[in-house]
Amino acid sequence: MEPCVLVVDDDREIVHAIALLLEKEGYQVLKAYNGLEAVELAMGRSVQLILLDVMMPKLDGLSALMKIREKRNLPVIVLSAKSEDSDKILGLSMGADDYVAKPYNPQELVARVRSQLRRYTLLGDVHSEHREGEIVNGRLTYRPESMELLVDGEEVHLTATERKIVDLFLRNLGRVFPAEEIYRRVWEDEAAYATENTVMVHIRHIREKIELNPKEPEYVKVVWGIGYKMEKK
Amino acid sequence: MDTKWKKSKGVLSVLFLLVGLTLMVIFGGLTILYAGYLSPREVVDAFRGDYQDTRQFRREISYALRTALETQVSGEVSSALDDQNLCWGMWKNGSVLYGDLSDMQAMSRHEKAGYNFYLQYQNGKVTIWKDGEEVDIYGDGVFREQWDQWELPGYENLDLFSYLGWIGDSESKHPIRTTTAAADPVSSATPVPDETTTDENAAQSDTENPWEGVTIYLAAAETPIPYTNSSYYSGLYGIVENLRFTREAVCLVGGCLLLGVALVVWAILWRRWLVLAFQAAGKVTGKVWLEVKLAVLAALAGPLVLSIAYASEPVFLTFAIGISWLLIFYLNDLICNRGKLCRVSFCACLAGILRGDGLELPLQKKLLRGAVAAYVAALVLAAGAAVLDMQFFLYWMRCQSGLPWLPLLIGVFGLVLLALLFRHWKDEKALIEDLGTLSRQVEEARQGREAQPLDSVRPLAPLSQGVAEMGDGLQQAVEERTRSERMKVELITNVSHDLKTPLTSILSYAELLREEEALPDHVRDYVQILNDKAQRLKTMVQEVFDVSKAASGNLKLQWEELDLSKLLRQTLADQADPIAESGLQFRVDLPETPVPVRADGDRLYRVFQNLIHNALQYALPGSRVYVRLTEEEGRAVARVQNTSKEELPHGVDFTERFVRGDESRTDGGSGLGLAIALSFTQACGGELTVRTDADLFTAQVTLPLNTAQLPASPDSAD
Repeated sequence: MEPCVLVVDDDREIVHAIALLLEKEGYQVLKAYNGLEAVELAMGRSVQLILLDVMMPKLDGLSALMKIREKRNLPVIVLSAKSEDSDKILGLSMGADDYVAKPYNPQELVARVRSQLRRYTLLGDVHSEHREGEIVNGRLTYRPESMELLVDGEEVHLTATERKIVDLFLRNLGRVFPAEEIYRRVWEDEAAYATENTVMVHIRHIREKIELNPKEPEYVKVVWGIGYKMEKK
Repeated sequence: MDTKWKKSKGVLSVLFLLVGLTLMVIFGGLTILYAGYLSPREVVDAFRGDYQDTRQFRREISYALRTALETQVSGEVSSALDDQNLCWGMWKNGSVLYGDLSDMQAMSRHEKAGYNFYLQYQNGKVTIWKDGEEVDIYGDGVFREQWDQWELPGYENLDLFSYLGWIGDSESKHPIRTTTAAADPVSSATPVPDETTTDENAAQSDTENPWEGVTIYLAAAETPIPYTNSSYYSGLYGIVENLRFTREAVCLVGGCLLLGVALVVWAILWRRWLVLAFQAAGKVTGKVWLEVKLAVLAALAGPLVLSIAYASEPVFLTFAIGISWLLIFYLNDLICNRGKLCRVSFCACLAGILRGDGLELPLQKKLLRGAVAAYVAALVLAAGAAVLDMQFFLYWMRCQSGLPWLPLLIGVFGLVLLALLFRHWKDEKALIEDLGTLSRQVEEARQGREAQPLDSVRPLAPLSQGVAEMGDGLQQAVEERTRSERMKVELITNVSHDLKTPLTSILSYAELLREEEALPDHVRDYVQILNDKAQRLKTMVQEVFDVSKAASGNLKLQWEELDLSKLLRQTLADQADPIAESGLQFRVDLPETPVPVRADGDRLYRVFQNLIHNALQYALPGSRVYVRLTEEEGRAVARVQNTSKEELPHGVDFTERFVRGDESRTDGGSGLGLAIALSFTQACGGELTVRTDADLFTAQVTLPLNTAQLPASPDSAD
């Protein structure tokens, strides 16, 4: 059976558009237009994922999210016109699994839905048991002994250099590496001319393989004026 | 409360130290003095409790016995035997030679009222009873024959015969022979003058011993009492008094010495507070003019020498001690304020005022200092004038007749002048203090804090009140402005939200349309245009939002220490694709060494991204773009220069919102790029300037260098 997604927004056209987008991808869609309806539908049916707007009449998105969280543990993606970092952090701290700012990129939205559903259905709970020695960081799972990288449980093909960079980052989550150090540890050579460019090219390639929106990366980040790092999720 | 206690602890520790040291010096000296004529044994005797168990008593008893024996020879009763606390009597061959018969009988029975010490001398043998019991004075209880002295442990031993020789009457040096019967102390325990004794004496009279057959009794009072009104006590009572005095003196001196030592030890235990207190004292004395200190010292020197010379007098001793304490503070001052003693002086102060020093001091201090110096000078002058006037007065009195009206007039005028001066000084002081308070109040108001206005009785109160009200008005204006700023930000947020919601629908349906397959080509083109413009609208909405936030000062920054050179390199690498596509040649000149700045990395990236984007958009195709970073006068200066493809209009501020090089606005820019770059640069504490020279367009970002060096990267550390 196709996975069922609940789309909640007080703007009917947006709900309709998202429904069309998702149905094209083969998902079953339920629609709700305010927080109360959302809570009701989320309780009753076999909903597997919720797309939830924040600013809604009757019951706002974040309150609805808390009510739903009391009963059910399923992925929730918050949609909001507020794009500030503080809004994003608030949403995630209230129990959202992901946060998408309006106006969203349709392709990205679909990708995010797919990612969350894969993790929910394939891997079960986000905090499920994982194999020994594995490094799990959000959507990424890394097996150091075989140097395999899984994104949403699916293996990603990486070139030898990319793999070395990913290995360095995932073993040192959150640590900022200057380009020269990355160069020395990955290429095992002294930093040469245009190190920054060389490293940046590979970083971009890695982003395209693991990020949902490579233009706004969530995992491999540039720390401007200092270096590069893998964000710890 | 706590600090008060600490303060008093400091004061106490200083007091303890001074008092302790003084006690130690005085009573230590007395101890040494006493040790010269007070043997340890005497001290021990003084504390025995029983005066009859002392060396002095034994000596007294010995003398008494000797005097009694002498009396027998010389026939004169010495006044040394007048002591009523020491009763005596002599008996020879059954008849009383000296003393009272009833007394003698009582003594021989050891029951004279009030007396508890009895000594019997008989034929060179001494027996002592004390408290009704015989005292074993010979150690083993056996008296042995001696030659010419009676020898008692602890008692003065008398060489009777040599003494007699000195008297000059007898050449006989025979030992005093005593009968063996008398050697038994038990049998002689009843030394009642009886026939036996008489017989013995008679039997031995041929030895020509003048004390043959003499029995002497001595009785000492249990508690000697004074029997004369003389202030000088002698005899047994004298001994008791002497012992009491020794006891008291030892207690007093020893106690005071111990107290002194204890106080000094206490002060040492509190040395932390002691040091603090001395430092505080040094700070206080450091503010006193050197001249004053020297004058006080000179004034004290005479009395000090004098009082030390007469230190045995308590008054002078106190004086000497007091002055010595003051000297300790002088010493402390010398230690604490070494090297700056000369600077804090009237002369230095005067010189400073004349030189015009102390501009950095607060206003009131500066004014006050000048005023104090002037008034002191005036007072010195007045004192001089007074002395001169007095001389003048005396001279007038001596040489001229009549009323000395001129010196008196001068004196009166001088006093009036002084009174006026004093009055003026008080006014001026109040004014100066008010000025200081007022300037502080203005400073507080300038920093947006509230300060207490002056009391209404003060001379400058109206002015202070005005300043306070001005501050309130300012406060209100600031609050008003803050509120309006907040409202502005709320408005921006709401507008951008209201714009974003329909935009979301437009983008979503444009996407759906784009995915529609059965569309004619021209319709597909329309859809593409719709999509592109909607995307641009989205970018613009976000940029307007960013610029408005930055302009209203509501941008939250993540301050970091970063390397601007590296940031530029990263930005260029990040934009490598659009740069390559543009066909422009980038000439990049960045220093290899780090250029440390403190800024928000994400915002600075946006600045340079926008500058590069601007260059890509408006540069003449195929021309060169120069990116350069230099350090100039403690600032980091980054320049992006390009040759414009359009002719640049003159006198246009390109960093204004919605200003673009070409007025027609047909290309893709929102016109906000440079405005964002400007806002973000300013938010990071830098400056963005745009210069045009013919077709050359130069954007220059200046940021203050972070003087605290960046930590060496692990790369260079290896």
